[in-house]
Amino acid sequence: MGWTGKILRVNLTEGTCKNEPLNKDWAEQFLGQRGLASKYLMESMDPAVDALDPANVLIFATGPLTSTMAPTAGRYSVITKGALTNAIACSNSGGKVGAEIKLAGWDMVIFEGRSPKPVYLWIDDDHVELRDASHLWGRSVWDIEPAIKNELGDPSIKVASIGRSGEKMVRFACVVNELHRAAGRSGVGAVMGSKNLKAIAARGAGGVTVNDPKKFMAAVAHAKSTLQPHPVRQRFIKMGTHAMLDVTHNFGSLPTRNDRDVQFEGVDKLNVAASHNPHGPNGTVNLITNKACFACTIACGRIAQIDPDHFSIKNKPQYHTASGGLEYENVFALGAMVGVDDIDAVTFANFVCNEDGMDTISFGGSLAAAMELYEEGAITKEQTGVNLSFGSAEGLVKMVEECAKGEGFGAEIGLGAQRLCEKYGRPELAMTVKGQEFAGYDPRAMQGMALAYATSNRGACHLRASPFATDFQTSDLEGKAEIVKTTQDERAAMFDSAGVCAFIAAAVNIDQIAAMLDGALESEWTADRIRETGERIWNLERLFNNAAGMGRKDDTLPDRMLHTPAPSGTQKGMVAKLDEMLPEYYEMRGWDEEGQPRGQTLSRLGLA
Amino acid sequence: MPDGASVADVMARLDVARETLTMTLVNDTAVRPALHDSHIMVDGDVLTVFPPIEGG
Repeated sequence: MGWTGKILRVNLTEGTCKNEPLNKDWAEQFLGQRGLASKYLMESMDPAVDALDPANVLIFATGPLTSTMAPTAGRYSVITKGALTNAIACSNSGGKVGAEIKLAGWDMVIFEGRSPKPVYLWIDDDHVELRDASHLWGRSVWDIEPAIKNELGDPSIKVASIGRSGEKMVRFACVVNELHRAAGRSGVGAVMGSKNLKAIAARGAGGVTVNDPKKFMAAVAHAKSTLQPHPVRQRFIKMGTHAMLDVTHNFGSLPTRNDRDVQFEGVDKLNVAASHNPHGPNGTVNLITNKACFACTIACGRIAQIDPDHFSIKNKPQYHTASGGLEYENVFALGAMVGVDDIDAVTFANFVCNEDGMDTISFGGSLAAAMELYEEGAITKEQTGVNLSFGSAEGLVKMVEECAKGEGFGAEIGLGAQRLCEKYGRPELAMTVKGQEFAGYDPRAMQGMALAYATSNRGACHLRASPFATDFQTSDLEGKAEIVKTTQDERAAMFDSAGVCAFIAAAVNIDQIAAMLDGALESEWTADRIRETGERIWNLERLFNNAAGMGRKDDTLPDRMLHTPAPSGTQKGMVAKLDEMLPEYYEMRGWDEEGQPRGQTLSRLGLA
Repeated sequence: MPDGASVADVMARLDVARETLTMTLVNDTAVRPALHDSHIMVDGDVLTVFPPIEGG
């Protein structure tokens, strides 16, 4: 009911696949997807092991609403200890493969150990097998998705896989599905590569059941009725999240040139307007159309093309067809953050990140760190083989191609910004928290985001909390800690553990989501229960990280954010006032001064 | 707009609902909703209005 009640546990060392019943108590306490898989993770491994050790556990998890008729009910997540961060990692993706795994009858797939040779998992309803992947190893995601479908003889098969970067354990390698959707952050793809696991292929014809179909469908109808006319939905259809580029640039929180700046003068060449304008000798228009995930009526996905005469793809016909285009995080990371204003180069870098499975945010942040090292003379052209100054489109193109294969200086960038900067003696140049590169919001200009980045359990992240509205309106600190804490809890449950997408947030409220859960599941679900579940998930993740050796010292920001004022924009002169917010945040969380959950907090949440 | 028009007056003229706004800028300064009535526009000011958007 909602959940299928079945988990697939795969031991890659022994080559076995076992069907086990879902732990119903855990499902009631942690809901599904991120929450439930975090519980299974905690119970299946020692959090102190190295992320690339076979003892790390890798979980693909759906939510109870995944594959139902709830709007946007196509989400799934990959949960593990992150190769980039050595903290708990949970990366959420859309597309179709999550729904397919659920329709095949599985709530979750757990991978343990390491296969002695490359394999992929084939799930065909309740027939599951590990198949040889030695003929797929060394090939890109774009190459093997059709190859697997051909081999298994069914074009409707859905595939989640790693590219060559995951095989080489580039620290921010990700898992890509349907060619351009990704479980992006924290190096979950590197963990998959470390296990010699190339892909999951799934075909599910089982359908899904809910506990009270009438109640469920009434709640779904209500959610769709508020989503459909909402102006935010129209904006997502027309512009995806790309429109945020003009917002952060004008506001002055757009990380530019490794956060040396907070506005980017090249924005007019990369923004929504630019994506509609014919450019180049062929009058190419970047944006072609939009695209939806399973069960989604928003369709925020972008499909774009590159000018065929652009230097990046001239004589490379495989890039002449349209593919995943510019949304906010990739246009900031591959554009402003590295100072590049060439829309074709930025789109090409995005194509390559999808083709071989790399997180665009972390690639951009790592390249930006390399560019600052280059401009400071800590690395040289002899080492990089190309001009790696900020703004070098040539540098962007060469490095993304090398990094995708774990080759050349690209392999150095594949260490991630923190390890790269430490290696070259300039650790302060890494714009990271817990080893994970910033998203597209400079925390000096957005105080709530400063706290959100510092306290996110998976490292710097723009999705864990939702301080956007308050941060765009005021830099006053009052109320920020509460907004960050509340939205962290709500989002952990609603948008990472239920199976629906965070982009319904503006149009579908927590009561409506509770109503859908209440209809789908046997037990009673309310907004308060969602909040409590989220708080429980948040604290469980914190316990995992603490057991992995993390604490208050890791809830911080780079020196540049704490001490170098924002140089321009509406928040010119501001620094991130983290130290003024963190104690209040810990207090609200019921944690001590070291960021350890107090005994009474854990008892209240059933985690003691 | 007449002299002494506020941010709120300009937005009313453009039929922009106050409560849907995430961010309003006059030139390079963010003007929060509570101040829309009292912030007076001067000839040559640029008003930038961004609707609610988040994530990425």
